[in-house]
Amino acid sequence: MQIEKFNYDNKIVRDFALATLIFGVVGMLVGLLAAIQLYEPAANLGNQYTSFGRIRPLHTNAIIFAFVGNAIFMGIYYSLQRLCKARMFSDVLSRIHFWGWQLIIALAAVSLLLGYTTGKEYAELEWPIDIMIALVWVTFGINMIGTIVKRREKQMYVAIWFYIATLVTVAVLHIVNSLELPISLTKSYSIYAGVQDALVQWWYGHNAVAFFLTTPFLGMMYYFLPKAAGRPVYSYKLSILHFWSLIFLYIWAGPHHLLYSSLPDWAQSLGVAFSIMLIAPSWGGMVNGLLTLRGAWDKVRDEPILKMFAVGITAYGMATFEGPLLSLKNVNAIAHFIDWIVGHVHVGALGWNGLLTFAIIYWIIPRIYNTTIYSKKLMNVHFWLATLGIVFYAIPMYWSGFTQGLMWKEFTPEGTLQYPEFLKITLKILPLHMLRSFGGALYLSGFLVLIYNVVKTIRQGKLVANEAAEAPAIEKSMGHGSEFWHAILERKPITFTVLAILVIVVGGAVELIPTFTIKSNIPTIASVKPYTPLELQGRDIYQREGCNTCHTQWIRPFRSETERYMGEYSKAGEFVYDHPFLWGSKRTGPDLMRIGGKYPDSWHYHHMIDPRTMSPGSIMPQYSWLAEQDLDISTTPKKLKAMKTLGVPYTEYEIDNGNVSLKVQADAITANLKKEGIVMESQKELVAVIAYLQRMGTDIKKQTTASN
Amino acid sequence: MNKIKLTAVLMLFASIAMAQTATTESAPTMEFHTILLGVIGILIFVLFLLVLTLRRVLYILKVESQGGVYPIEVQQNFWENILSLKPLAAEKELELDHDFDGIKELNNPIPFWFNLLFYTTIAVAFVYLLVFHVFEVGSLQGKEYETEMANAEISRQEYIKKAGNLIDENSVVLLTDKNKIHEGAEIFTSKCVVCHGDKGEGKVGPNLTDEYWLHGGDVKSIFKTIKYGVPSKGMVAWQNSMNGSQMQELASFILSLQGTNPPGGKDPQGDKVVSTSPSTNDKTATTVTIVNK
Repeated sequence: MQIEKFNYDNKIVRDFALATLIFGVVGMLVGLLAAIQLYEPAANLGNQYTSFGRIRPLHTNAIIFAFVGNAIFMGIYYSLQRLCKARMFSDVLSRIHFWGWQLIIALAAVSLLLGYTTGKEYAELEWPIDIMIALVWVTFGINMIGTIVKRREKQMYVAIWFYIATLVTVAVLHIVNSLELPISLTKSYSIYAGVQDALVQWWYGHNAVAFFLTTPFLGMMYYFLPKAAGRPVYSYKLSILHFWSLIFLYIWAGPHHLLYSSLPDWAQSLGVAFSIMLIAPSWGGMVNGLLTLRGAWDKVRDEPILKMFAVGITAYGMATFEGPLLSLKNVNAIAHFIDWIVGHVHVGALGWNGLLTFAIIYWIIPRIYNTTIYSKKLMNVHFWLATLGIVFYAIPMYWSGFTQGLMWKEFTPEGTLQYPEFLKITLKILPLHMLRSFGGALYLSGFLVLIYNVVKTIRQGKLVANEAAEAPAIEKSMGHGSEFWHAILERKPITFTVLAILVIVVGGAVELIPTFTIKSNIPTIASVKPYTPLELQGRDIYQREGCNTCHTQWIRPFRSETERYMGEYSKAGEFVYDHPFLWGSKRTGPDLMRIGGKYPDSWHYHHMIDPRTMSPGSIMPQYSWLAEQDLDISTTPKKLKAMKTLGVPYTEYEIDNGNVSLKVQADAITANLKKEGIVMESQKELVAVIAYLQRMGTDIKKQTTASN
Repeated sequence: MNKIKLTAVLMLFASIAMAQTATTESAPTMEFHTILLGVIGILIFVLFLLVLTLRRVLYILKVESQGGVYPIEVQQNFWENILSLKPLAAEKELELDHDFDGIKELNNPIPFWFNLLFYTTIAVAFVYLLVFHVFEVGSLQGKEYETEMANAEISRQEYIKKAGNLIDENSVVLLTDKNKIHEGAEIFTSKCVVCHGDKGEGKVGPNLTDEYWLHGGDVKSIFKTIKYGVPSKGMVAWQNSMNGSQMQELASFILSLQGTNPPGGKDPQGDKVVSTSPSTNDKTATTVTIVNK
């Protein structure tokens, strides 16, 4: 047997580690700012670029794709080389991957602050960046599969299975959800409308959590945990069972984000059923992780890395039990739109992704710098700051969530809402929001301790850019008949990859295809007409400002909601011209589905200039700049034409005269405002926003009037 | 033997699942507090099971850390079956003969409780789909909503019958009590100023301080306008967000604004209503004269 000598590329691991540190601080700081804005609107820093609606997507994107993303690449590039006993397939591809990803992050940060957004959660980036993401992801894929193919290890270890699943699923999700029709370099419309757009989005959104925040981390857990604990992995059989069941079942569960919406009932029920079945496969990872620590509990006590693993894995177990629980319809009826969900995702993000990332950084850095960690004591300090941070974050969120959820639904015996004013409920939970930002600040301070510790460690060591290693060349013939079927599969990376794709495609196909092809799934409503040009422009501003980060357009079929929002619950047919859908997922402010016609134009004017004049104590940021900025009407014909391409029935005449009718409607609104003593020029953006708000959810009422 | 046990437990869980879906079905009629209590109950039960398991695991770990061998008894008991833990000392025999960068894997069986959980959830999921989409015994959201609204109306009617002296447009009288008027003023500030101005001078909505009324100026008419609104003109129907006494207080406050003549008052709209004694509580004493403007 010939022993081959080669080098591991540690430099690329180091680079991704540093990017993780930098974007971790940025992402968490932006999160803290957003949290503070939720009780102190002045924290929007008085300008549109740092208003909540824009920095909330910046926070989620920075944490998911910049912080966690770089951490995943750090962990994969370190462990994959060692598990394959091979250097990465191509150094050039590694560099392209690294710099390409950082460029995407920089462009994302700038474009989100400028308000360029597709309006779809965790997929807000506009089409040029979407294409870059696809290209960089493919680069990463070629590099990864290439490394696996030229490995010097017969079998692929369980960590690699999870890496492969991550690679293929994220690619499929990203491409399908990002299909959009460009208007310009910075603006596009989703090719899907309304309910269909919502289903695609949450098929994506749910599985971004599964295949970006879960599977790569399970893979990394399977490498770094047994390494750090010096213990064998508990059960190979359990690995096989929970891997395949997890990737198969996860894909189906997306519709649980759309319970009690106008998504067809059968799709909602599939979401519930598959979420229930997800408990065990998710827990399989936790069980295998915790039982790997069996026999090493004495080490867990004084090894901070293992402590972080233990708490991180426990947080994973909690979040993945809570997830199915939240998917039960009667729990979801209370839990959706409230702070409970925010608490739930942060137990996952801060506990599972955060603590595992920290543990892996503490493991990797001293090794690639050929030294020991600068201070174990500071690692312990970090562990406690992080753990306390999670506690101070989660408990106030659960508390405020329950308060909110119950107050929204409470009726007096006479049959009126106990708390008809939405704002009163919001004001009640503000102290809990303050406590939450304290928890977040604790967690961030712990991260700063990590950075100090890592910098000190780097200073005292020297980077081993190319780490020498050796391994016997792989043997070609390995045919012994009585082998376990899965062991054979573990030697065939391409077959394995194809099989993984098949397994993840089933769930998506079964849910998406009928919703798109069977007409009865989206019953149309005759009185629902396309938006006027001005309303369409206003809708785009609504989307640009991220109004949907705080306001839903989704009245659920509950008495407490149809009474509170004074109108019918949302119907599928009302959204057929909505590219993209703007239903939202969190109700920080009241629902806006039936806002149209509820208040006079002047109310909206005053409320947008300074919300607190109309609603004393409101935490909504002011949008006075909308009354100063001119609406860009040069895009009107292009937008109408694009909508027509997507199936919105605008006539040629309407498209050609788009700006004429836009002007007429705008003048009518300013004339109306003038009656109330408000002077505003009709070309301002605010006029378009008012037009959109006054139209919203009103078409269905015409139907009722007509049929009467 | 194990198979029999598994089947028995599965059937038990399946019946729980049936019960659960049944609860889901009647959920809208139940108070949501009850639902929440149920959820908390389930959570506590699971937590209890976890604590029991954890206690056992800790015990095993303690035995092992003192150099003891687990299981202590040769005969496997209930807990060993559930946890499916093999003694640490037997680990070498379970090791698979490959390693990955120094990582070994054990060939431990999938724990019994894990399989139980997995197959139970699959059973629950199937029962769930059957109940709602094959046998259609469970009611889906549209039906659920109808039931909820119908039940709310029934209990509201029952409440009204029981409470007896609820204030409506027939029984409403003008209030003069300072505290009550103050209550009305508070409601006015939170709900009405948007359209009627903070002094009732009128903005989008009409001036409420003059003697001209579009829909009647006596307390009963005002009460009615508040309650049912004038949807065609943008006046909201408040009957679902205010109760009778609140609307009475509000109507009384509005009438207390008569003649205040605030600055910037909107021009009169509607018919002039002259009330000879607007502050009296006795409805018969209020003579109303309508002068066409």
